Amino acid sequence: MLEIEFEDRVGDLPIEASLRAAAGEVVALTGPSGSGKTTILRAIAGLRRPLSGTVRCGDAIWFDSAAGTWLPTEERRVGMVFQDYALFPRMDAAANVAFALADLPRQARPAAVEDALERVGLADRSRHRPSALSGGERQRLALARAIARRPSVLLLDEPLASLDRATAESALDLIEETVASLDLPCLLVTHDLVAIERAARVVAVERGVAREDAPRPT
Amino acid sequence: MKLRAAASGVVIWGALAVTLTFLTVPVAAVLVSAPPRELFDALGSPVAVDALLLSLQCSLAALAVILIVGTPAAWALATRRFPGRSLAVTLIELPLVLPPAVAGLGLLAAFGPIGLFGGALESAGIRLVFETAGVVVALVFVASPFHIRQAQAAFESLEPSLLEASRTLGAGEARTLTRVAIPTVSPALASGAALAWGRALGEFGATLMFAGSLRSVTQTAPLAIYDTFSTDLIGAQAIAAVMVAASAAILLTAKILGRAAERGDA
Repeated sequence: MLEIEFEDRVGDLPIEASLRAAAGEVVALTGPSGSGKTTILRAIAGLRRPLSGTVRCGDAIWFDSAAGTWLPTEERRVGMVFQDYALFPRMDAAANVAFALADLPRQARPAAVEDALERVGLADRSRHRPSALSGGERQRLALARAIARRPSVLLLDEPLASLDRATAESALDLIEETVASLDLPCLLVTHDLVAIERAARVVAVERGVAREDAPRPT
Repeated sequence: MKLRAAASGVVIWGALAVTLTFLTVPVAAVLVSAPPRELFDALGSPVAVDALLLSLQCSLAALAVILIVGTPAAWALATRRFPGRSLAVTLIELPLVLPPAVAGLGLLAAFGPIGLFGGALESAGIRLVFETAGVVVALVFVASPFHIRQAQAAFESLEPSLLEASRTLGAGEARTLTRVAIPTVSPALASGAALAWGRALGEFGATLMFAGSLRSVTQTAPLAIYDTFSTDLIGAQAIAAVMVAASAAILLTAKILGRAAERGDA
């Protein structure tokens, strides 16, 4: 279970986030551009420090302003897919995934890389650099890399934005399968109506305020 | 109107022709003003061999120091905001415009026997003046800004999401720098390193002031040219010809790598 309750500020925009995501649940964060959706994901990942509040994931407390607790990003077990995928351009697909597996003994890494790439259907593209992959393949590689480290939460920032309809649908299938099989809480920032429709719950973010159980846009 | 356009064309093309001629003739003259056979034979002289080898060794040692210390320094400048950062950037760039003689004098005042840190270095058993190590220090001083400037700009051009992704994948700053940032901008870093190496190979004034010109110890190729040209012009020209070839090769490498960096490949 991911539980967050914090306040932050980006320029003049006050951010108030209060939401929960259960294991195996995809929660869609929707709202206009600049409303604070990505800021919320970044705060959960530890890429920015909120002004006050808490971020909890399972038994772990990642941020608690009252207790002065702050875990740096690299110590949180966060799987994050960035909007531009942020794949390392000089590494091939296998090396991108292996980068996330530094905690594993060296001899166990090849099998773990193979497993992660197979899960997203990229086993035969392991020696290709990101520039040689299609948009859909890059998105799947970013997902494989994000889950390779066995994260406690999956954060997806507009992962469907640059995909065509058919590719977006299959990417969504893969996200749902992955979240269910790994039993992860997942926050999905998206404008995609199909993704919103298929999400377990929808959180609307408007002018910096994240509101639970918003009605689904039609 | 047509006449005026033609006249301005003549002036512009003329300016380019004059500039090109003025800048290339002295370089070409080094190569053609003596018979190639004589130049080649002169290269076998002990003075030339010692100077060229010393230049190669010292410039490579300086380059290693510049890469090892200058790259993380450039990373710090690119990724951190702190009071006095602009001043730090300016101070690091200062050797680019400092007269070499001033650089040499400054090194003497800092690290010479009666300099600020002369006593401390002496008690640690480190001697720089009239020593090969002093040449390396002088080369690092004058050449490091070429690499640091380029590396800082390259690191600043990185997509922030790449570095953030690295952190979400469990990498600390050192791993993010060595495994993600440096490989991603490697052509730009190599281009900066090539320029720094070229500057180090050609360094003259600061080395002469700080380390002197002792054959086989501190007499690098530019110092050997200065030392021998009044008594052995062909010998000096032979060393100069090698320097021209080396400089051209380094410049070409820097340009090729720079273009690769712009394209974001290689």
